[in-house]
Amino acid sequence: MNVGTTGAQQGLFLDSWHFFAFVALAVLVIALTRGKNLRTWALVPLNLYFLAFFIGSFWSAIILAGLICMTYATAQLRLRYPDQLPIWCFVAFIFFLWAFLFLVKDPNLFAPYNPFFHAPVAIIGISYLTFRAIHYVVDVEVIEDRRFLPFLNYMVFFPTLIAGPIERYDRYAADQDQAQPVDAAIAIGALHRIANGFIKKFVLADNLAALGIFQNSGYDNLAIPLLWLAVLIQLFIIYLDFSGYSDIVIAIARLMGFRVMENFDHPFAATSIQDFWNRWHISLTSFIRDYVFTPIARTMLVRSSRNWHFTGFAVAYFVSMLVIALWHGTTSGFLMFGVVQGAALVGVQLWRRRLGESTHNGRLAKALYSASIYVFMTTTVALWYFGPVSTLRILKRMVGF
Amino acid sequence: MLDEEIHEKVQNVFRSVFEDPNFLISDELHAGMVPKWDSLLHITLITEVERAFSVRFRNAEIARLNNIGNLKDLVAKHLRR
Repeated sequence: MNVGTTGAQQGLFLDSWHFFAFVALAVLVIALTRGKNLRTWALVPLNLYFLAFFIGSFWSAIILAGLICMTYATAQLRLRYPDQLPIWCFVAFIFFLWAFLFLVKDPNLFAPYNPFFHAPVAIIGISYLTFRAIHYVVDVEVIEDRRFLPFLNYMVFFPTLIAGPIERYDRYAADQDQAQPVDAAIAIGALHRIANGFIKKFVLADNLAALGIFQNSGYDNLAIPLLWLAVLIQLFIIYLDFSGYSDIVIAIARLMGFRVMENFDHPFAATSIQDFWNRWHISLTSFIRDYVFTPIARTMLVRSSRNWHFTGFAVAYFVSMLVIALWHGTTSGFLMFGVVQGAALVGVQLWRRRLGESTHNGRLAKALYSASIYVFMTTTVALWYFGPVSTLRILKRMVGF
Repeated sequence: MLDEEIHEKVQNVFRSVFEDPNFLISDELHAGMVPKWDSLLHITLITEVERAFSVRFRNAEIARLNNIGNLKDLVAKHLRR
């Protein structure tokens, strides 16, 4: 799976007794801790203990410590010398973080010039750490709590460490200072959600995966109805796996008095491609919206005449979708996925401009429209694993060619 | 600038961007309540509000906006500078 929740050799797995015991201990420690300073200090060893399972080598630890310290130092410089240091220094640092993210995630990218080609770094969740770092440096001027320890805890908060959700600093810091109350009803609700998450991820997703197209490399031999099933079920498997994971970690955080951002909001009820992305992996898509789409679109809008505005938006959509796609993997399949999704988003906007708001209000029309979004998403997901050529072959086989 | 003036001016921007001369804004109004209000329209609104008041918001400030009330507060904050 691409979500990075399982599959690595190292780590403290969500479905291990060790993890259960650790979470129980963490919840207990946090429940017994009073006062914001004590709470902050109590979180440090818990977070570092969990983090230690995901650091593959001494070199990885150095890189991680470097990332955290450089981010904090840069943000503090920005606060202390807002007028003396030119803004491009910080913009350059943000670009550096993006470059680091792509180079560290794929050591073969730009090999042999990629420094991580010679010394690969194995830190699960490094991209989520980098996202948090980018958010902190960009937003530091409007962030109220500027101390180091709360920042450290934010970066490596153990429930969200491996695969998000990508929290925003203010909300995290507020709950770190003043825990959200956890009464019996909330605790039972959270435990219920954890159980549901486990069922979604480890019972449904893991077992359905056997039917999914990603597990069926011999798709040429599948009967056409089975091929349809394999392709159509794949997005659902990814949803169950990742939203199950999100349920587990959000509920664990809630037991500790933290309200972590939701990651999914009924994506299959989406009414357009755009709406789908507003409901799917929300913490990533809203991060990309705020830190990629918005800056690009605003720059384009301010510096161009009205006639060029739509072109500016189109560029911003394409760049955003390409970043999302290439972040998952730097293969031609992911590249195509980004292009196709970008084109779809721009297409939806053009459609709206030409024809106004959608007029299909009948129940059947709505259902058909939702189904078409589902088919579009699910067939483009095949690009991830099979690349453009094989995906085209799969699509041809699905319609009997 | 008075709160009422800010309200009026923001409302005019919304009327022009939504192409609806009767569009009414309230402090609680947010993107989730208006189907047409997507990420693209949002940027247009922000840029037009900036233009109307001759201010420039930070990306971090825009990312924190939850509703019209926040937007008006942000305008007021920038006008005080």
